Amino acid sequence: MSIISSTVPAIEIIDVSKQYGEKLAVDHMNLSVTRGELFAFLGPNGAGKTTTIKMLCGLLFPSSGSIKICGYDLKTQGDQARRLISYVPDLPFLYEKLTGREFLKFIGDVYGMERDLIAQKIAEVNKLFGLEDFIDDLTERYSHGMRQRMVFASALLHDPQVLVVDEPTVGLDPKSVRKLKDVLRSQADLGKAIFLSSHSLDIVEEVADRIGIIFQGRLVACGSLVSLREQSETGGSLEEVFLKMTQEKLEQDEKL
Amino acid sequence: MKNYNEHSNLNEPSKLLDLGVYPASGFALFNMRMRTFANFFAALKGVLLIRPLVLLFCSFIIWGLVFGTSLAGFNFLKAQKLPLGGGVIGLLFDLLFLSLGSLLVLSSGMILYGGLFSSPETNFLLTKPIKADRIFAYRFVEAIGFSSWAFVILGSPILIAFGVVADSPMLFYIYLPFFFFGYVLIPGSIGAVLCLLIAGLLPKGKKLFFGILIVGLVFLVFSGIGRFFSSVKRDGIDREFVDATLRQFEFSRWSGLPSYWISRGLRAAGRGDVSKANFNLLLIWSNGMMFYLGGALLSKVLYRRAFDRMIAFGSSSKKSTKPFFLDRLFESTLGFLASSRRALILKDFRAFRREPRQWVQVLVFGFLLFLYFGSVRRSFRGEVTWPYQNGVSLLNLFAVSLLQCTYVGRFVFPMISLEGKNFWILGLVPMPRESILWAKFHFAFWSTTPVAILLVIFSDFMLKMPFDYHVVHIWTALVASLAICALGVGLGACLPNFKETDPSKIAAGFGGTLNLVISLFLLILLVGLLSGIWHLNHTGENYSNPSFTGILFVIAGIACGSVIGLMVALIPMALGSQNLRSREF
Repeated sequence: MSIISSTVPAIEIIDVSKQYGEKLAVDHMNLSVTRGELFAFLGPNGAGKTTTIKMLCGLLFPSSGSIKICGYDLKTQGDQARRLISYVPDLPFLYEKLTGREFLKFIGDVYGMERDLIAQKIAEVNKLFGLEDFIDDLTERYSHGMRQRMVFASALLHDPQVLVVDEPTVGLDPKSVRKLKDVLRSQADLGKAIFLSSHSLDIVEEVADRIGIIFQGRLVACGSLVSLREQSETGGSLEEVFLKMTQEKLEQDEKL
Repeated sequence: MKNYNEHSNLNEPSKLLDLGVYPASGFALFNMRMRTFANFFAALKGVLLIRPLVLLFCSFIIWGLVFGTSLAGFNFLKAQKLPLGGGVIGLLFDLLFLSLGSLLVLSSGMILYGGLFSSPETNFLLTKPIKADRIFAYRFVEAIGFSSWAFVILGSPILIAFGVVADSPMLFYIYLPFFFFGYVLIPGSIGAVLCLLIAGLLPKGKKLFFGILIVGLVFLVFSGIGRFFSSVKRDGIDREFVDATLRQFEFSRWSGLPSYWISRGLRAAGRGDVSKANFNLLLIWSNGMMFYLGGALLSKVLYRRAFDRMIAFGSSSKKSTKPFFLDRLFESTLGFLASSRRALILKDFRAFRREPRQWVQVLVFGFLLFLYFGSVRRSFRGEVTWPYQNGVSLLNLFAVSLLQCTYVGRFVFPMISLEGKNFWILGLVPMPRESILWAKFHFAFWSTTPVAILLVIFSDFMLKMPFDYHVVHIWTALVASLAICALGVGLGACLPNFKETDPSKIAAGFGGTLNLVISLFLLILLVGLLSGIWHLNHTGENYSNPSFTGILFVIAGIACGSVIGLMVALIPMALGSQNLRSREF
């Protein structure tokens, strides 16, 4: 059994750049997320958030630099690293002709879990996310909220060390959003690293331990809400902090 | 959602997984696919089975038509005392399998390309700890299934007809599926390897690569055509001409070609020669598996890298600030249509021209036809004789319509399906839904008909055909174009597949194949009625006016052909409109 040292950061982004042809989508990014931390990733549209997330999940490779998940390099040890990650995309994918339970079994099989363990974990996530009413229906009949809950359930099935979540609250009702925030916070409290990308600044303000702001591919600010307020010399909400920092950066770039 | 804190196990800190043991994800994917199929069939229980029954019935009809035609063809050859186990039939089989194999390389490569690089499912699988070669294998099976089912459905009736006419033993029929499934592995794997190499190594210089490839291909075919015509230069069709023609296809008899192995093996099975059949069968399977392994190994090292490169360099970053001149040209030629319809057509045209994978193939085939028409006269030492002119001009007309038929099947038929989940946008547009269908029809008709007519005129001009031939051929091309475009659009609306995003899969699916087969039969009928009778009336040594009875037949043929063409244009469009109107989104 491989032992993952608890001193190794859950996510390490080391001097990562990503180029799309002529365009630099991510520019020399350095970031580290520790276990038990809920890190929120903010940025305007086209800032490089999705590219960063895709690199974190192993879908894309950095043009330069490296990304490590619990010490495993995603480029050279991708298979091991991907076993420790779960990714919840903004547009959840489900197999339309599988029932929710069959989909969860499939995920368990993909992660090489024993049948008994799969059954046990399905029972747990079923209770946790309230899937009873529809778990045995074909997923083609699910509403957006049901799909989102099913995808979250599948993401937690194999006890990932790192949970990457992209815009999780889009299309969810207020009650589900509340529960989702509880789940994310609890997972972080259990020692998992949560990497949350969202435009919902109120949610980020409420649950995040640390916030990173990406703008034009660069991580322009990173820290707790208090430290971001200090950096931006604003005492207001995260929205004010975010707008001020991105505006300032734009003005600086224009001057240059 | 329930309160998270109620649950003990998920509240415990995570146990680390054993990263040394790799999960059996290949079996997981296989099980998932089997479960998906089982659920699909289970869902059919208790619901109206009209659609699957219609599909089965149509498949049976297609199969029967191909079988009947092949049976008649082989019987004709037998009646001509042509030995069915002889060289000519062998050569025909070699050519059949070689051309089908080449098409399979292209179609499986393209379907795999869509499956590996632009499918939401693949994005999902790539974030899981599944090895690249297993995702490749999973997608490969799907691509082979899609690209080869038409090959099996259309190839089996031809070979069974051969078996019946040649009095082949039962062994032949038993061997048939084994040969088929083994054979499709080879072109499928070659297509897969090419797909991986192009995506993994060439995305940066893709345009340059395809440019060189097209120029090389055109050069090869052009030089081949030139060589063919110069070697078969005769002033008439005689035995020497046939021998010279056959000699030109000797390359298909090279013993290193898989098409040669399947052709040899099947003919040996047809004669009851077990050892020779077994030898060729094993040759096919061993090579098929070796090629597949090559593809799988390549995917292991290249696939994830290729995926990354496709995202990074795959799409053009060029901004479109000014209207492209082709858009303006296309829009202005459709000035007689309402602006809303023009907008719909322009949308389709823009989507089409921005997808070079689609139009490059048509361009290559169109250009090849152009080259062939331009060089066809050189095959004669002296003046072109009339019977030759008469026959070749009809064949050229058929070739042009055939090209249009494949274009419509491949690109126009999937258009309604490709609107997919966004169909509600069009559904909310303040215009009748049939307008959408008519807009697609206009797009198909106006983007293909002028090219088809120009090619027909060029062919007739090069063959120095009389003026009346020009008129008849242009009318035929026009009616055929009308019918084929309407059939493609109408059937596309009758049998849409809104869940599929890959046009090649839609075209290779049941609806696409049905459309292609019906279009082919329709084309034979229309060209036969509108121009065939005309040509039959001029089969003499010289061009002369036909008899009165002949003229009556010609008029009847043209009238019948025109009415059938018009009916075929209207019926599928009406059915398609009805289907769209009654559809909920």
